[in-house]
Amino acid sequence: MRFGLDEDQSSLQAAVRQLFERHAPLDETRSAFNMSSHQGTWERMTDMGLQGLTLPDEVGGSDATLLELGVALQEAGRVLLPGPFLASAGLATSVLGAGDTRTTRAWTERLAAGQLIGTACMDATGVTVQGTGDRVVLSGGTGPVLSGDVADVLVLVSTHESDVRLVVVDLAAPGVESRVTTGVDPSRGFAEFTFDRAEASVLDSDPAAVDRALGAAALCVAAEQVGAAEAVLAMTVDYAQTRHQFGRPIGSFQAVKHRCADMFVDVERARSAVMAATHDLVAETGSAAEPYMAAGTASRSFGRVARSAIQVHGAIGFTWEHNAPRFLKRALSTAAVVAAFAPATRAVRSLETASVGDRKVVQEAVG
Amino acid sequence: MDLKYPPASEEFRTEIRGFLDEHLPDSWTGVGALDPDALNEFIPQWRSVLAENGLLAPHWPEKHGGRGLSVVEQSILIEEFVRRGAPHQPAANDPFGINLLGPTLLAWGTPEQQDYFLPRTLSGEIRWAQGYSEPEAGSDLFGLRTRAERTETGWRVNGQKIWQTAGVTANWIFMLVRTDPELERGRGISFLLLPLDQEGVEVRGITNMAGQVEFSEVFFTDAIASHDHLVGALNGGARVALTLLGFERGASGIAASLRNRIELDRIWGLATSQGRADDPRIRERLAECLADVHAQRSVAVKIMTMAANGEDPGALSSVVKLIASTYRQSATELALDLVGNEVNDLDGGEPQEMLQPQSLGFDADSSVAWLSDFLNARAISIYGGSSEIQRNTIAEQILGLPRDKRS
Repeated sequence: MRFGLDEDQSSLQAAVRQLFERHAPLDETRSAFNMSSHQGTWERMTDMGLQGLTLPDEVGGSDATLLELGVALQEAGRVLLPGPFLASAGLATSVLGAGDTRTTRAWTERLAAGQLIGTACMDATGVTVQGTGDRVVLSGGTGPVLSGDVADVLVLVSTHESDVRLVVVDLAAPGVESRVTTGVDPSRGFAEFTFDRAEASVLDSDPAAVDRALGAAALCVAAEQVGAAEAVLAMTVDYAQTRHQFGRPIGSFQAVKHRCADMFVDVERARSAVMAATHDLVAETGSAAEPYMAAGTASRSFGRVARSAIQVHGAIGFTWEHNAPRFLKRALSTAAVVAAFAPATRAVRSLETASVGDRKVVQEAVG
Repeated sequence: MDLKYPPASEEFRTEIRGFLDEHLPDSWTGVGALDPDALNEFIPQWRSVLAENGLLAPHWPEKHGGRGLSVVEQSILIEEFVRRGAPHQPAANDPFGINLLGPTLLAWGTPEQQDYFLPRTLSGEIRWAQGYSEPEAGSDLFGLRTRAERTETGWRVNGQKIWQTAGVTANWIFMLVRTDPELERGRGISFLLLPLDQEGVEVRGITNMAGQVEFSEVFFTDAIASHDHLVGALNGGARVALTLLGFERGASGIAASLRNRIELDRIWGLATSQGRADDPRIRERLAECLADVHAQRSVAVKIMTMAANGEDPGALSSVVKLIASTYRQSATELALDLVGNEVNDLDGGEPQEMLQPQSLGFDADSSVAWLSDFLNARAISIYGGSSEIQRNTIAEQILGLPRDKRS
């Protein structure tokens, strides 16, 4: 038994960390907020096989698990990596994983090759899906979708009563309108989509696979949040040790010291929960609710840690010039993305739920 | 990352489940379901069954009545007992004798001390209390003042110890005493064993704010401990005490999270009886509790695997205690919110547990018990190293921040 990365995972972690330190360090990505200036890093990530980490070998993926993808996302979180890595390699790829490989191949091959950017909308309650079978027509619209501004293809999780369908829509297709939104986190774009009888494909999928895929998607966001929380904690502890007032480091005052300790507890709680839930999803030993419990934990922990970081940094932490507020904005943005995993991650559902597939809300307590 | 239990451990889990099936009554729904009379009858019987099967002190070596279980096996044992609502340390003094004093004697005691005390601890003839804290030495343990002077007849002890859990039912105490007043703080203290049933000893129960006499204080006026009952080196008590604190790391965390999980089912039951099961605010809080319990379990699994791999979890134990104390306070607050105005019209059976959640089978509707749980939860952030001390430990030992200045 071992709770932690194995040798291969540690090597992956080191390689990805080095890639981001060289080509997307936190201080430099402050201004590199759009895809074109990001292109070199994206290509390097593709060359390293990061886009298709969890995709099968036969479509050009690395055939790795969510554990490996989680490692890469954690590293991306540490540097607040701009761009669509989470949306594409994380959300879209995970959800597509629930579909039949022969159908999804049309997209997964190009995703793995870094030629296609995907994203997923986890709350498609505003979208009407008309038709049965594998070609449908969409009307209505979505809320803001992560990296919708640069995505080529959108995966929608459509839930209608007990009917769950995975719908894939080519965003260049007729009847699709997009509106790029302005959100709290300048490092990543969002866009809102409206459909006017837009044609889309439905993926063949079974409820158990959909459950796992949605859980995986939630854990992708959570992994990124954990990495970011770790980075802002380290930044904060460093500041507490070097900033002097009243003739001593501010970290020698208990109020500051204790706040840092609480931040550490939050980080430890989040990373343990996310790693355990990721392991259990891969090993197929976890409950349907487990990924959402871990995702909720990560989201709340990252939010608290980001807020505490501002406090410890004092006035300078409040300036846009400093890096600390970037973590807070990322926390706010991702917390909302996680919350939009409706109905899956909403507080109500994490209370002893059965699968998304049968939509049972709460079981009676064990007597 | 591999959380699959080894096959031998899974066999052990099956064995323990079989043991519980065999020795618990068919109608068993958890010790929590027993009324006080049935409980008083059950406990000594059950304790004997455990002792006979080497399961009362399973981590002790076989030659001393244990089974020499590994950390993983200990964890499985406690988890399975909790899952069935069967006590694994039935008497109130058991944790002190079995988890603290026993392993201390195994590490530091002479063969004579082991041969004398270990079997009597197992049989229950000797019931231990822990004598560390004093009125003037709480967080600052090494400021302790209880003196032991060497005389011809033994160590003459004068002073006072306070906050012994289950002190009223104890007949022996293991204590830290100052044996050399010239040496400062941790340097002049020794670890001594002393019988409480003697003239120079007075034990007084202390009533806690929940109205229970769960702990005590002890006054020593020329009390005598045998020369043979010094454990470890003279003036080497600090080392003995610090290693004692390191025992049992890793084996009990998963079961502790399961206790919290079982309690959540009761809180859900309470919410249902109070007609609050559909209240979105209650459901949101319950969901956060569920997520917290999941996180507790995850950290516990991490620590267990570290201990199993011979890695010292170190100050991670401070993280566990902080999370646990915050959680128990949140969960019991939620319960009391659900109890509502019944807090002014208390009803229901008395609690069985004061230091832990009630066990499987306990009535979900007893406001008397929920109030006790809430009040007792306030102490968790104080005993066993206060939350302030735990935060210092995390900040200093994990994050490398500067230590507090002392005057």
